[in-house]
Amino acid sequence: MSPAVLVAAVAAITVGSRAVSVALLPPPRGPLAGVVDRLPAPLFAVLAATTLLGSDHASASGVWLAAGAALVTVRRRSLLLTVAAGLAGALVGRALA
Amino acid sequence: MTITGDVTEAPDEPAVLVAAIPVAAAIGVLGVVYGAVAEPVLGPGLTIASSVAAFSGAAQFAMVGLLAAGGSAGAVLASVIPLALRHVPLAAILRPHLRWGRGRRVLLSWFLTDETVGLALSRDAQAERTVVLSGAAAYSAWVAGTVAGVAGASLGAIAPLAESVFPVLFIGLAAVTTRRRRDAVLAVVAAGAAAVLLTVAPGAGVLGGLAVAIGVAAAGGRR
Repeated sequence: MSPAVLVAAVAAITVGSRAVSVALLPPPRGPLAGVVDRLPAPLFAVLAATTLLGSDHASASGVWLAAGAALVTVRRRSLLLTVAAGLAGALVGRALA
Repeated sequence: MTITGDVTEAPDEPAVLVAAIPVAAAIGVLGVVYGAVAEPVLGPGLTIASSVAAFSGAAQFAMVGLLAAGGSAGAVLASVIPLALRHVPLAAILRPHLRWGRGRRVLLSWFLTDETVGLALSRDAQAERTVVLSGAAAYSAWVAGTVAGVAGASLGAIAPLAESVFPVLFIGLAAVTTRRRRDAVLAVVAAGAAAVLLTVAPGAGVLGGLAVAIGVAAAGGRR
């Protein structure tokens, strides 16, 4: 398979999975609606853990300081503040390394 | 002022775009990294084309990483399919907030990413508008970042930040989608369980994490 065909296949899988999911999934009902309603925060928390622990840089102190600084701000529920704090933590970690 | 059916809504595009700034900036930084990493593997044209056509950092980094390591096309597709399955729970949690018909939802799906869904759930504004505006900002940043990376742009002093961008972004999205104390408890439990799973079975990856999140959300409704 040539690289161009492979890129096209990756794009087709990605774009197709988005389209099919959004177009065909009905609004959840019954017990499933409750699960879906509770899903967002655990889902993003799991993605945070996955990217943190699955990263090639998981052993770097800057990544952990970034995560720690971001966690300090979560009660404010401001994405801008959390990202700014996290990146500031990463810079501090880098300076200390 | 926009009138949609019997619902009257104040225009809030500037607020949505302000909320999208950290997302677009983070994605732009990763785009530069992707462009720089992918260009020696795919060449300049195909690298930019991949970002234009796929708009998926996770899938594109997986593809380039495997190709650079000598992986086969089959290995690339086998790694991309589980990542694509992530769109099912994302669409499921967004679906109750969508009022558009199926045809327009297909167009909307171009911008279905973790980040745009998180922003849409965190705002009172019409979900479709938030996904489109924040998605357009993120897509522009991703493609522009890729072009800059291909052209040899250097992140300079902010290069060390790239590795921290996604953990921080997802922590922020978990926070803004937490509406009740119970959500916070479930998020902590899910993150802890995922950490244990990934420590014990590093190969569990995204699919294992998704299973943990769905399991915790399901268990969280039991009394």
